[in-house]
Amino acid sequence: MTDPLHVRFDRIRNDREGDWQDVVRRAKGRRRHRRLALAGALGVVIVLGAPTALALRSTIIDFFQSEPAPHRLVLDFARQDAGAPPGLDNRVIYEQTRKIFERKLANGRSLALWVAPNRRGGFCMALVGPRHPGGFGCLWEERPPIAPGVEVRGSTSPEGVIRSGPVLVSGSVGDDRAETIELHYQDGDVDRQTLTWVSSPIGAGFFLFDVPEEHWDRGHRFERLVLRDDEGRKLYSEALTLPGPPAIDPKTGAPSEALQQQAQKLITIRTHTGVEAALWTAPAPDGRTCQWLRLGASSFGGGCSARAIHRPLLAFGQSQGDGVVLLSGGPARPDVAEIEVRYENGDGAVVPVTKGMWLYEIKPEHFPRGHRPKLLIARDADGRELARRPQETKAYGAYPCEKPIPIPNGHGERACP
Amino acid sequence: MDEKARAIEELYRARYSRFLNTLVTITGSWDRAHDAVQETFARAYAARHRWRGDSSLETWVWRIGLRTALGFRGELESARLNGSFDPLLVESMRDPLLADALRALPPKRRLVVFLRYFADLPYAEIARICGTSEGTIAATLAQAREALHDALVEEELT
Repeated sequence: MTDPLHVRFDRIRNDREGDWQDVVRRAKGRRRHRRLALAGALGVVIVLGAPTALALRSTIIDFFQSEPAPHRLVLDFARQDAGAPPGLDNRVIYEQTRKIFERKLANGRSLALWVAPNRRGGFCMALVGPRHPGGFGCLWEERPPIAPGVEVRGSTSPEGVIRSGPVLVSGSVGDDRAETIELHYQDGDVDRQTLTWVSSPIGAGFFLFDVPEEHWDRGHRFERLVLRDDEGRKLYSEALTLPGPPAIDPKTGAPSEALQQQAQKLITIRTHTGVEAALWTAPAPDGRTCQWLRLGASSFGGGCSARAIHRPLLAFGQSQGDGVVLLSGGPARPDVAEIEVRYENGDGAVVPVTKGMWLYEIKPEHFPRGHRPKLLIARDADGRELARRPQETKAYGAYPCEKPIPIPNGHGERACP
Repeated sequence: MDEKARAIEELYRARYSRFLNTLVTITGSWDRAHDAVQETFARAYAARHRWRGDSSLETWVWRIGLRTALGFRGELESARLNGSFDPLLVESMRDPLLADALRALPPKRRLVVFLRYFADLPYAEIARICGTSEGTIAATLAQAREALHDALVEEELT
């Protein structure tokens, strides 16, 4: 006779499919954890017996023993999938966000790397500073040998000259034999660091290079990342360059990837010179969003943003030409409704966000030092603060002036103070 | 792939859903239960050389599973498996009568019920997992069934 309880339990049973490859990946992460823990113990013996045999060893972190993220950061991770197209959400397990490491940068500020697993077989990460919300990135099932990211968290001229930093090279490593990672520069210099490996369910190594100022200029910039094992053997090498200005259609000013038949003039403003500034958007074939600025008949630059799944809260750029300085941003997350601009001299302005994009002119009275924008704040429709970004106020060449002065970069260049 | 690895993979493919439905009664959410199952099998896979065959592979993995799920709930993984924790039916709205009736059972009896009806394990396996005798499990299940039957019939009649 059938047990009626079996029937009753069968009705509420949840039948789902598992993911065996994820199990194997997690198991490999666990094996690595044990192997390196043992290697660390043996390393003590080696140091005692033969100090010269000491080699750089990566650090191992037990993910579930790491510091859990504070509530505001958990919410930031939770918001990452908001507005993502179906199938492109990262399915981040935000309640498991944990700190992997915290590093002090050359500018004296600290950055912490926070990581959360996702249900795509990978993880999401963000480098977050006390005054910087951080850019989010996610890996799904694939674990490339190196997944690097380059960020200039200062300002860069339209010609690609880095005016202020920090310049960061960070990312994850999927080759579990790797112990160290090297950043090679065009002038032959090499920075080297041990990897921070994180146990299952993350199962990846992490790194962060704060690129020194002497390596910001052309001819001295980074050009390659190299992975090495515990005996110094090269495992993998990947070219790495600062992203340059995108290719532009000379007629329209649109990035070459933009599908121009779908272009939309999203925002227009009349500048103080009487010329119209317009922010255009169009999708790219791979799903990215392209944007470009035009001032009258001139192209003002543009580019195609990262995929929507990585939308930051507050990303923006500053452009200038013909005596006009524009701030433009987006695509922002769907809950960003307005941007507040605060000036050094106490002035302020609120900029509406249209379909995730915004455009704003900084008027000439705010060009001089002491009067410039110092802070941008993203708010939602109820006025709640979502993110804030301090703005560099002492960068050379960011604002027009009558008398450019020599800038202290050793190349004899002149720029507005 | 070695023989033990293949056996663990086969067990995973055949029993994933049973592990999920059982461990969710401990973790409290489907997502955490999925993670617990993945971690369970990853631990078993990584430590498979330690399985000596003195219990069935499935019993061994179930013991890992219950301890892993406890760990996901923030409790000590060294907690005893014979009733020192408190599994509950999630999504109780799918069968409120059954959920209420289960809640009225002592935690140890509830675990045995879940191992029987969600994990579909025979008495002997449940006994080995819980570290008790087959007779104790048979008696525990008989008492649980009786209590559940009474509660469900009574509720459905009122």
